[in-house]
Amino acid sequence: MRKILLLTLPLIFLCSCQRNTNETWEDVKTAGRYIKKSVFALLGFETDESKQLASNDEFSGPQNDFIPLEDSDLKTQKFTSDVSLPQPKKSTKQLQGFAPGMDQFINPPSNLANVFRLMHFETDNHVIKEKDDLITIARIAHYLKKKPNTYLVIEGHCDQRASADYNLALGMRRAQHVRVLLTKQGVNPNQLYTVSYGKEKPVTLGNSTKDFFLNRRAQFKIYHKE
Amino acid sequence: MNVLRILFLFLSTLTFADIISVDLKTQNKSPTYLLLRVESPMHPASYIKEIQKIVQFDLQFSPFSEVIESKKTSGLDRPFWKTIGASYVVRSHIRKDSLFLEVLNVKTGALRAFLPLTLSGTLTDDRTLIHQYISDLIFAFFKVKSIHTKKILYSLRTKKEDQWISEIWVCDFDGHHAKQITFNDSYSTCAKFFPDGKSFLYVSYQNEQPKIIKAKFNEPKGEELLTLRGSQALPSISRTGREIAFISDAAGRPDLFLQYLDGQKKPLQLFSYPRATQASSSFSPDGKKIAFVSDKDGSPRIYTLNIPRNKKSFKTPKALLITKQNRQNTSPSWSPDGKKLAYSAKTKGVRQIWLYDFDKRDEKQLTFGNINMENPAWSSDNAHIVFNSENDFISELYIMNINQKKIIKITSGPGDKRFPVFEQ
Repeated sequence: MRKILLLTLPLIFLCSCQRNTNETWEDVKTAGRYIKKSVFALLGFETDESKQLASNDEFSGPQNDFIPLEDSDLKTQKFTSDVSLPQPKKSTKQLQGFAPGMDQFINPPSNLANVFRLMHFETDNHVIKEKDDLITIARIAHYLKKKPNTYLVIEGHCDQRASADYNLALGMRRAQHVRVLLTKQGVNPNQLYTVSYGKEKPVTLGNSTKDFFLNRRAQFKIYHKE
Repeated sequence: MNVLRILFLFLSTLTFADIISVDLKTQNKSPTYLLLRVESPMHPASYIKEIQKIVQFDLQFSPFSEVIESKKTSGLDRPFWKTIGASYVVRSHIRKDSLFLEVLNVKTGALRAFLPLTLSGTLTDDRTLIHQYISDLIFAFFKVKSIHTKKILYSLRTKKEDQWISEIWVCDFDGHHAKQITFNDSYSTCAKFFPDGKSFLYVSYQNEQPKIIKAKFNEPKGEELLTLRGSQALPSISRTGREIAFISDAAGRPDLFLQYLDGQKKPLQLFSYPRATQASSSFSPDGKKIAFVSDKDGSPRIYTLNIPRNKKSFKTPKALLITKQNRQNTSPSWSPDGKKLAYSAKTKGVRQIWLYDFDKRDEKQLTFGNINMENPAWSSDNAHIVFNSENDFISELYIMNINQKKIIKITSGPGDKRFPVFEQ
């Protein structure tokens, strides 16, 4: 492996002199990935390999219901805020027993208001940082672990300053981050569903800093399955 | 292309009157004129006035028209129009209960008359007939299918008993004949036409997690299009209707997915990036590329990538950055001819509609002012876009000719109208 690298790198650098800037940069990145893999291999760490499929049969995919990207870059788990945690396979519709028109996910009743408190986010951010919010995470986790037949919808919301389409995606990240924090506290991820409303459902229509803060929130709905 | 110059004059009676001027510059900077004549009308004056407005409005929305002011009129007197430099004069003549359109070719002197349109006296019905009439005229002279008979789909948000509700609506290109399509009593948004014009997509929150629904206009409840887990949002449809792209958190992040609709293939996770949020997308007309929003480099920007055809390799495709001038670029819409991309970008603190030219590789601002504008979508004539304002929770729909500065508000009244899209 080392010999191959020692032979390959000079060749890449020589070739890059004849190519344009973008191609050179891409080659340097590729070389960097190989160096990283070889260093990890030497140190005894496992590496995630990008996968080249050998045939069309493999195209039908693994047990996933989608065909995932296989790049090792995507599996970076260095940042706790960016853990990629797949959604539950069973949809909320399937969970509720295909009962159209029935709102089986409901707002938490008043006796649980102290558990399922609203959380808030910083502008353009999806990470929960405030101590009170982290305490709420712990309380919700404690409740759900005691009640394995209780399911939670985590709604991600945004203020109105960014565009509607981007906010729908940002709300997804916010809801997903709360979900990750709850699973890290031991909650079964199949109890947790995420929904983004972006800036579609503001709780306040003002333009003050406080109004923006109130709208940048995660809120919850619960469903007790008998 | 022949330069079309049509003199725009309004006559409330047989006498000539001052012209209402609307300065709309065309691609070729050619003025557009309309001569309107009324003779022994059977309908009331107020109704005739509305008909005149419709004709005027419709002629403003041909791809090659400009209206200018003139205080001297001379009917279809060819020498007069020659001195002004007009190529054509269109006369709209209301006689008794019929509307006649005549077009004079100033250069050759040929006068072409279109079959008369019988006015019923019911404005809503006659409005639709005039749209078709003007559309036929534009096609006859420019060989371009105009937007006059095209519908616009959009979502309308209201508050009902303290709950935000959104339903899908449809209207004519001028905002009239608005009609509610979905009655789900929940949150429905982000509708898109299928190319056949008989079915459409939208995102429904009826079962909590948003899912993409495919529905027909006569059966708007529809069915979930995908069996993919998690939330689905911001769908876009290719020109052929054979692929859709959308955002889903099935893999744990808001990623861009691609689904082929012919065959049983699973959706493909098309683009993902560590610590990044992907958002709305738009297919190139040839279906080979997709423009999409990502904040992988900090602020949301628009990138394009080649849609992978070689299904044996699933490394992250290379994304090419398109929008460099502004921050917070979102909602891309690729023009039908493939030459331009309309999008929204934050400009001096206000979201405006911009245009990216793929040939010139430059970005041009289309809207100005202090009201946020979002969600541009192209019409099939490559000359008009529809978009919505976002101003203190009031949203209305606007259309504009990309070669002209004026934007025309086409909706009003209760409810926030958003995410508009033209029928193809």
